[in-house]
Amino acid sequence: MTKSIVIVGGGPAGYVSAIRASQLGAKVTLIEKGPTLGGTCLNVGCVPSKALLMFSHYKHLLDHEFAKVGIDAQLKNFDFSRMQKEKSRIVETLTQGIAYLLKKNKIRHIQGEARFIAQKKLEVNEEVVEADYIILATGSQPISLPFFPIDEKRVLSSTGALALKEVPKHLLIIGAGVIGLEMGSVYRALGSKVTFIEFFSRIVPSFDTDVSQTMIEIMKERGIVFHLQTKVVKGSTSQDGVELICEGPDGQFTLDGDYVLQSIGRKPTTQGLSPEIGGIRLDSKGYIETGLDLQTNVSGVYAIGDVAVGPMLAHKASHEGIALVENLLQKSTHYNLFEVPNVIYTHPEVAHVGMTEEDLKKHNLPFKMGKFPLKANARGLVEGDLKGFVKVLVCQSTKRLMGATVVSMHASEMLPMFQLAISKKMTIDEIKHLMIAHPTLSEALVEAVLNAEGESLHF
Amino acid sequence: MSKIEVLLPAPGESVKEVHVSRFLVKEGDIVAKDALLCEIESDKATMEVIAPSAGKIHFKIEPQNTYPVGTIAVEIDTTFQPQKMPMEDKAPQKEEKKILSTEIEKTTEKKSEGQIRQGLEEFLQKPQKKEPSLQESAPMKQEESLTLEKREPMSLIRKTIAKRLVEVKNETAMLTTFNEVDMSTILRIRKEHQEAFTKKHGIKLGFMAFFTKAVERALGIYPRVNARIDKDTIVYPNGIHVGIAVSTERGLVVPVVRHVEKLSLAQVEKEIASLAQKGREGKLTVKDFEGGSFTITNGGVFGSLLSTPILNPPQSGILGMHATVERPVAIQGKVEIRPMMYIALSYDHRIVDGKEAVGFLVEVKRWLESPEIGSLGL
Repeated sequence: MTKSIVIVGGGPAGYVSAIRASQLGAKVTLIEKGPTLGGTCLNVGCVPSKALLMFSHYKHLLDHEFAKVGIDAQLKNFDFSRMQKEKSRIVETLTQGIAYLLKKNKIRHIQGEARFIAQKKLEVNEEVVEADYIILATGSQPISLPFFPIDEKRVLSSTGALALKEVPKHLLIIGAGVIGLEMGSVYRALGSKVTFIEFFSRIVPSFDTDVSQTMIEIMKERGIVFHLQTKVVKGSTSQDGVELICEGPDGQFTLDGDYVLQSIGRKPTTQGLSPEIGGIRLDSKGYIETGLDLQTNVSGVYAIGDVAVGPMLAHKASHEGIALVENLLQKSTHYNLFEVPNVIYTHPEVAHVGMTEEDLKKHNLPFKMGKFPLKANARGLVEGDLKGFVKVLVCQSTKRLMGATVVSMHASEMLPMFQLAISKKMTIDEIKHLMIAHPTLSEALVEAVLNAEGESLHF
Repeated sequence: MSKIEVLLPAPGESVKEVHVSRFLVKEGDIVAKDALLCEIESDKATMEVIAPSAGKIHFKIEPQNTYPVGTIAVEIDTTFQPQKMPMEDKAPQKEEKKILSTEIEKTTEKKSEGQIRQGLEEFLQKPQKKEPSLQESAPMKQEESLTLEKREPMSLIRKTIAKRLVEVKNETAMLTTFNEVDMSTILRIRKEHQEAFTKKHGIKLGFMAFFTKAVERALGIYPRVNARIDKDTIVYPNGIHVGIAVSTERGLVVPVVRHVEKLSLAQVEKEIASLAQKGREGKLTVKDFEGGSFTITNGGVFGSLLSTPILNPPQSGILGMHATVERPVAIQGKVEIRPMMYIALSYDHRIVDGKEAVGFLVEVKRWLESPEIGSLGL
């Protein structure tokens, strides 16, 4: 018998599971409140930020790198609006691509805001929608400091920061996490003065300490200013600027800029959905509560992606969606939260999978580390990745690869080898004889593994 | 800072130097007590050097080098203590799991049916080794698949064994004589007294003690089988010291039961059991291998019906035991089915005459078929 599925939310969790469910023979309805599909990721997240990172890097190369090899070029004109337009064109191409994919897979797409009107019963555009399974994939949204609301004019979230019409003269960024670092890189490359205010003692604290150390060095070399262990106690805006009063280790000080980006985190989105009418329980942070089978407290209703707990990452969301519909319609599939890759798409990129040093220490798992610097790698030298490195964490007793970090140009593209090894629970003996093409950055992956054994060839 | 020095032990009889084949931990590692530090080889055995206490390792030797026995191998700094073992080896304690605090652990604490989201516990599980067969997944013709000859270097032990075996063949006048034993009596004695013996002595009554005692008697009558040649002299040892070949994971070792003539059958059995245990645990020391004057080897445990054992130099005799099988035998004009064992004596014909060798085996046979002859002084 054909199963019917209703999915609320057309982001990476929702639309991917819709396609997969349809492939597996279900009758699928996808409800998205926004004018376009693709959710945060495609419209105001991963994709536009990668476009701006790439384009702004061109300017960085022109301003700082080309002359090193004798190409003295003069910047004739810089039209930021064209850069933004090109970014929008790419986003548009992709969102239309999703609309096409839905059609191709015979998925009913309803544009409108769904809300529960009873248990397992939704209403959208005055139509009542019911199904065998309801999947909630309503995503997340940026949070702001309680005393300093986002207006997207001077006080920006990542959404506003991606859509600016001018390059800020001085961009203040509260929170030096992944999003902050990416946006800071973009506008620094485009010529802004960029100043970070970070509450922790190091930047990107979800990564290992040496990553934070390397990245702050690289960012400082580019002229970005960091105030660590500092919190914002007050913020105010005027017609053409913002003022922050900050409190750091040396006392209070004031920062003035023309824009401020608040990148201090995101929260799950459930407003408008009326989960209480559907009998759906939320946890204290507002996430939809689920079991490990992703089912909510209401049988037949599931939650995936940012609105369910776990890292708020597009690939985790899609993967969770695929695993869920495969479980509902076909066979058991699962994924492990330690196998979720985590990437910062700056230049160089940072990519990590598995456990961090902190994880290993916390669980008393004796490990050894292998590290290889990219300045000892031919391609690293060519690409100018002089501060990059590859690091592996290996279980002392079993020699299993437990975690890996790559700091390099294209790190996100190099990581999958380690992802495969970690998900297949491979030991470094099973990896270390892999023949990598020369010269490539990926040679450093195997060198790092060899280093864990004290057998590095080029270091 | 307190330091403990670990010396290179001797893995075999009269071993003066050892070869360090490989390190089993890395320089600077912090290890637990009894951790295996490095592997050493002599021409007699391989063994591991064990950490006498926990601490941080500093090697004083290099792998793939040879050192005199007693050289300081490792310094252990005992001010360092190792962390607990990883969870993979040991299931996590319930209490421990409650303190887990990161999001991943929180979200995967409660297991449920149809679990999709997994966390720490599954991450730390051992990999499921499933070797997909090529035939199964993608049919491949036999001739297309690449099979290479495998070559591996001979270990020091293997090389020494090879060299010594050839030497024995070349330097002695070795030959073998055979006889057969009706095992009915021994089997009956074992059956009848097994329970009482086990109760009293705490070990099972096996075959080896009977054979050792039988050999003791025969050696008493034919002392030259117990002797050895040293240049132009014949050396008679101060007692009967019987080496028992024991198969262990790392090959055949021959620990010695000394002064069999002073031990009761039960004492011999106990001694053999303790040596075998030590052999399996790799804990035999130089002392255990020293001074054998004769050897017993039991190919029967592997099912051998008949074989010609090779001498263990400088000894002049070795008794081979074999499998006991029921065979029809003629007894006083009648065919009877009896549990029979072939026995073999390989001897050095330079000092043992054929008559002595044959007589020796006949005595072993007599004793095994009628153990009472010993008590009766016959």
